Amino acid sequence: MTGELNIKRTEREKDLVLVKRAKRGDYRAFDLLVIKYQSRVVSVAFKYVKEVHLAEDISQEAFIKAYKALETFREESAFYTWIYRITANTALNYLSSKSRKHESSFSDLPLLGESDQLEVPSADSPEELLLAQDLREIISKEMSRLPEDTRTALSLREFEGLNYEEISKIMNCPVGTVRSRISRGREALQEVISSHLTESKNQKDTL
Amino acid sequence: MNEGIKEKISAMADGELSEFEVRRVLEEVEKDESYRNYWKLLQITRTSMAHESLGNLNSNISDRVKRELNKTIPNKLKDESELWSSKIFMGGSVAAGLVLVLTINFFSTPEFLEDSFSDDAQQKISQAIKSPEAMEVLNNSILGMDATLQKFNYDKNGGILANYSLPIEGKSFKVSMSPVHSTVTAKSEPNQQRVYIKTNKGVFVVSVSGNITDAKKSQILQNVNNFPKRTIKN
Repeated sequence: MTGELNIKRTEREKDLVLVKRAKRGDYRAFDLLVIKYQSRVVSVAFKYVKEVHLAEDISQEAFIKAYKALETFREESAFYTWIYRITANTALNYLSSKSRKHESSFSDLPLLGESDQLEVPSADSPEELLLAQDLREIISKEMSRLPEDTRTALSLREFEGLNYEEISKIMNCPVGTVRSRISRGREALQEVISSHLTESKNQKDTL
Repeated sequence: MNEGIKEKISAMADGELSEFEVRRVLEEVEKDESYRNYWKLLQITRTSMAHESLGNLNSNISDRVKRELNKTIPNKLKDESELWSSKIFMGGSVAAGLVLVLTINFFSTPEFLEDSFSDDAQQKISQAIKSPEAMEVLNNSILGMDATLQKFNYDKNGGILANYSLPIEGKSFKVSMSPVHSTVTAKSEPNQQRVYIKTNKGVFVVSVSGNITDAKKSQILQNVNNFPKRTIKN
């Protein structure tokens, strides 16, 4: 048998190099993690507080807490799980303090611990679901327009989860070529996605 | 924006850059704000492709977080001299002509859905997959097993899907062969194993799923790997 086990690279592993640098005080690395997860973190906060601006404030606070506590972050868990948990706890703290002020029933809300299950955020609002659906259709269409080699490399990466070396072996080309093809493919997709997002934003602004 | 930096940012998103290269990229990102937006778009693209929640895309709190933290925390590495070793990659396999990489995945099986590939592309894929050699790959996969074909379909992406049963054991399994691009609309199914086949018509995924043992699934894929003909023709 010529095959070997394939190890899919998880998001945890992909983030690890940035997490390690951020832990050593490199804010630039942390900034990229914020950009990567901010929209989903705001979604987590929104689930609790049901108001976008408040959810953004809570998310901001969660990221700041996370950066200050990075040294305590254990790298065997995923960064996103950790930040989602901090966000959920920050939101629960907020609701709890609010309830104390208003003497309502939020005071007994439990904070999430390390071992507690945390619901992975999903696109809840119809607007978010519609946008996600639109983007998937755009991507699917644009993928079909990509050159065969580019599309194959990108598909093996994104849909099959293979790493560059495995893709290079399947496609019988150097790893550098795989890296270029994937990058070119993504860039083509990003262009159409960017236009669509701008268009959506403009439409929303004119309403 | 520099193409080389964009390529490195893309590789960084896949965790495929060394620590040294990451440091270089971060320096470039710091110098040119447009790379931050490039990174953001890249994440949106990847998240969409993974069919994951995008969250609230209108929220941009990264600048606020940055401003707030910059007030109190210096933007410096604590120890620049610490360098991390490069990553070690797990290898796959190479064979001449027909290249197979056996993977043991327990997720993501093609549950074929409608897709929007161009007619030309679909026809090309279809021609390749409907060839006698492709069928032979599929037939070959169950060699030595007392399996009965229950159902056979061509899907809309140009793939083939065969349902088999093992009457003696009372178990069933699916073997599918499809162009790798068709997984753009695939849905997950647990306990699946797959191999990749490179042909002159592109890369195909052969997958096995069902309630048979992992050893049997491996045997099926092994049979595919032992397929004597090394090319798939029209």
